[in-house]
Amino acid sequence: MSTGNAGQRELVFCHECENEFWKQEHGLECPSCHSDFTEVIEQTHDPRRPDTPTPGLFADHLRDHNPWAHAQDAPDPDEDDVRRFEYRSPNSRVHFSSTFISSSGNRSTQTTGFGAEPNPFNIIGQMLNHMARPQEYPSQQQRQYEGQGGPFGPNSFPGRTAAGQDSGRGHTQFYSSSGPGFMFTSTGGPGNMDREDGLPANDLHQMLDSLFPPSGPPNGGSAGGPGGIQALLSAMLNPANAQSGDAVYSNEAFDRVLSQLMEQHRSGNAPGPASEAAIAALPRRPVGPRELGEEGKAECSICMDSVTTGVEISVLPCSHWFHPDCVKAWLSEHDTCPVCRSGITPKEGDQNSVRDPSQQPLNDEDPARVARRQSGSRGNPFIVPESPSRERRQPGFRQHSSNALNTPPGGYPGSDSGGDQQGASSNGSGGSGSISGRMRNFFGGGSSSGESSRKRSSGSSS
Amino acid sequence: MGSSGGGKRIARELGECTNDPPEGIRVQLVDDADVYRWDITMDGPEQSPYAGGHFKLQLRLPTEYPFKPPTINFATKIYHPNVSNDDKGSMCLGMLRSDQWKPPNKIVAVLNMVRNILIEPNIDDAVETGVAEQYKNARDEFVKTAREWTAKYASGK
Repeated sequence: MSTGNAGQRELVFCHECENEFWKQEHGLECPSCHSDFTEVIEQTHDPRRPDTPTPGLFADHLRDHNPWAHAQDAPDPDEDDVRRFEYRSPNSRVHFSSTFISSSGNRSTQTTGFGAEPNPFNIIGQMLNHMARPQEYPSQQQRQYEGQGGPFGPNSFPGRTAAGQDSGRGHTQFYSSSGPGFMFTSTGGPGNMDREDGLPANDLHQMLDSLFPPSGPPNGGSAGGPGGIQALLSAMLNPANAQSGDAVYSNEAFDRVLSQLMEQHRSGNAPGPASEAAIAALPRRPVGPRELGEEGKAECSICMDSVTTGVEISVLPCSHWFHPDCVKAWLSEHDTCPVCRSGITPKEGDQNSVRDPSQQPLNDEDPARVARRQSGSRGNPFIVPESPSRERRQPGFRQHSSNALNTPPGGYPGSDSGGDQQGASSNGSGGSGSISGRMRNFFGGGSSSGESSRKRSSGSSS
Repeated sequence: MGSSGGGKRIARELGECTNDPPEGIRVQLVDDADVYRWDITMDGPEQSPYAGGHFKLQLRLPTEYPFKPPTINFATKIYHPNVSNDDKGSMCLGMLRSDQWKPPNKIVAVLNMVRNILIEPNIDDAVETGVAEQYKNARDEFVKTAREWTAKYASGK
């Protein structure tokens, strides 16, 4: 199974059914599902998902991954291909830098305006127009053209010696977008971006931290700064033009794309099917006066056909009844009553039997709980307590329960110990958990948010 | 019961919706031979900024109906926190979500829910978070834009 013995024989992974097979025996078509969405597993590239991703693993991958490696290694990125721009306010409280990389051959797009193809100088110009006092703007503007080093390489911040009087790491905005033929990143924020090590964003882990800074101003002194920049960003990054084809230009648009993808796969939350044996064990009987009521007629609420005396019905433990075939079709996909959502499988005991009405159901979709769980938006369809980003972007939105908000970052099950300290000690560490947490919550490998919040609440009460 | 039962139920529901349509809603099939695609015309509720508009919606029923929820798309552009501002105009909340759908829900209930959402958007379940924020924090601007869009896109017959 290991990729180590793939010297002679090539192992192929099927993305459809996650089957693995030998290329020499089956070619590139999956023998089990006949999909051709397959990939040869190489030692350097294994498409199989890690079985149990942990936050550490995820972060390590990110840290080791340098998306600009190619930009850096590119033989000769001539000057026009990498544009860098930096701005610092006179008192060093606001700092912006941006890098725009376009692949050669696409240079003509750089001259078009914001809209069709975003021109970074227009974007930054708009930012500065609002940010700096108008009369300061032209004199403070600097443009830097450099052809070497990645956007966050050692030469990323050519003007950084100009700053340094401000203390602390400040509150940093990071913004990045890319599309066919170009890549654009910008960082900015009040205070001094530079740290002791001098390379603030060299570490992607830290970049993630700054991507989702914790809510609230980092300190009283610079409280005015982030608000201003956020306002600028949100004004500039109007969701209507923040998406263009495959490229997104704002977190909001990214959220939308992400949740659209999630939407297409949403079923993770719903209870699984009831067992065939349990469905078959549902008591059946002819419909009687109790069901038909005073009017002497009733209908199966699934097919809406009326039932008359003598028609056979299946009765669920919650005493809701349906045509046997109708309810079987539903229960074989969801172990919930179509009307009240109480499952038929007992919580304890034989899962191939029907629970006694006195027994707790295994799946009980209590409407209140559903409502609580569903109170996320499509922009943030899962309530991920680890994510403070919503709070930051939309201070008016209090859609999470306060309980969920107060949970420490990194506190999901399976994370190593010390999540609390991590959250308390660093004002930036909340971010790294948020996006990986969301991914894990959705794509599996972790627990659902509901589970984790239960776990946490039981933990906090002890 | 299977899909034939679903088709029978759909025909029954279509009959109900055409003979006794919910307030401000008109229903017809896109193609008379296909009960799974409905054309809906929804009048903007009087008490909403959509008043005076006639909004076209497409309702699609999955072949698994009623075991899977219908889908709703606004064919007419509408400025609303719960309707995606793209060429799809999709709306997906509440009972329309696959994990909240229950077979006893009827199409007429879905349509009424959509109309109620026009009167009172569900801010916590917004697809257009920017519009939701505006609805919450700058209601006048929201109402103004929603009215403008209604006049611009939904006033035609």
